[in-house]
Amino acid sequence: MAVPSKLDATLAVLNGLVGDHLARTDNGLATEMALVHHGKPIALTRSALSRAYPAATGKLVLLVHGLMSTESVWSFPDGTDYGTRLESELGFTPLAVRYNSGRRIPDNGAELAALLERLIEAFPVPVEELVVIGHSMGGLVFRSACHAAVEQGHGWLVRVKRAVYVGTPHLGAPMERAGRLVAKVLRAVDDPYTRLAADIANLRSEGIKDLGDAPLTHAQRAKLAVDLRAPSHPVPLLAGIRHHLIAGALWEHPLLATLFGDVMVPVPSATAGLDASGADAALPPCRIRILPGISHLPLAHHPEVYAQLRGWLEESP
Amino acid sequence: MSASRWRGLQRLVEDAVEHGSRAIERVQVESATRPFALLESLPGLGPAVRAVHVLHDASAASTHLTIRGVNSLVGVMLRPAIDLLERGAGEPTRK
Repeated sequence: MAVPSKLDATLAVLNGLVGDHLARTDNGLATEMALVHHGKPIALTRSALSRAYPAATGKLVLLVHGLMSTESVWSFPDGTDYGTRLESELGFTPLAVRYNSGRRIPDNGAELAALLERLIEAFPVPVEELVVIGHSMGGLVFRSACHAAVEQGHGWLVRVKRAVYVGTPHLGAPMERAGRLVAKVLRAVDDPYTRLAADIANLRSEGIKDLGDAPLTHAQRAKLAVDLRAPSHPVPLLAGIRHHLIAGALWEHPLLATLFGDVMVPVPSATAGLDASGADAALPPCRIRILPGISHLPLAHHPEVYAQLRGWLEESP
Repeated sequence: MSASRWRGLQRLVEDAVEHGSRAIERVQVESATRPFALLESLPGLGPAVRAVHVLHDASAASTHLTIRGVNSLVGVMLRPAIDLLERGAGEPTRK
């Protein structure tokens, strides 16, 4: 997958910051969700997909980036990424999606679900398996898409047997919840300048705000309250999919890893509150990996993460 | 960059100036309220201070109205230019 242009990277940041406003006002700077190949969107037609993937196999791996990113976040310095490495080593066909990360997670989830339904129908070879790898917000968008697919009765979901979440804040990101609290306090102060500061802080996109509590559905989003506690996630990992979780931890000390994790996502959030020691029956410990010394963004292009991914994906589905 | 993105950038800048001007006007008017109220409470100064307060608020309003007017005018002038660019590039015209 080619590296997108600097303009694409700039637009990804802009979309992450105010993408909900751009989408709401039908602004030409808003990124539309699309499957991308060599930095360009691909039409979801059999002919376009055949041209883009002439050596397509029935094993697909879809990379879903996180907030303010494009598919370039997955790129190693040599130009490869997890997808192209899995293609050459395990025979997967690598796909990447690009989307407006400033929109609400449930909105992006519903759109991703619809995109995958069209993709599976139009793909030039019968799809046996679709593996999804989500980085940060991308993992939440995929999980939201699964719930949308269940509601809509989509057929693509049965092809998803395995999913990998890399630095995904399943229980939300405390940094966003702290920012929300600061904005609330500033707004409560009876001073025009602090209210202005609160207004500026509240301009951040709905996508960023959603990272606070990681709502996967509109119903859950409506329920969430404003506080600093990490809410226990009321939407469990979907049954029928083998979920794999990777968390970064910059510090080896358990307390620091719990509090700060990969700087953006604490370890308990990246592991969905599940116990990596195996005390939870929900997920065996072999499907949770905490990698010390790796911060949030490098998780998307790190040799150790790839080695773990490869290890998981070379097992039979 | 495509014409639709230029149009998007123009609209985003126009929106930012519009909302920014309204927010700053609100801060200017609100932050002046307290000192004016204090001065108005002083014996003998009330009517004069009230007149200055009205003038201050009117001045802030007219300044920001002018900023928003010019901003809107620039937008009106730029849109046809971007339309021309769009037609030249053979892109479908957006609303």
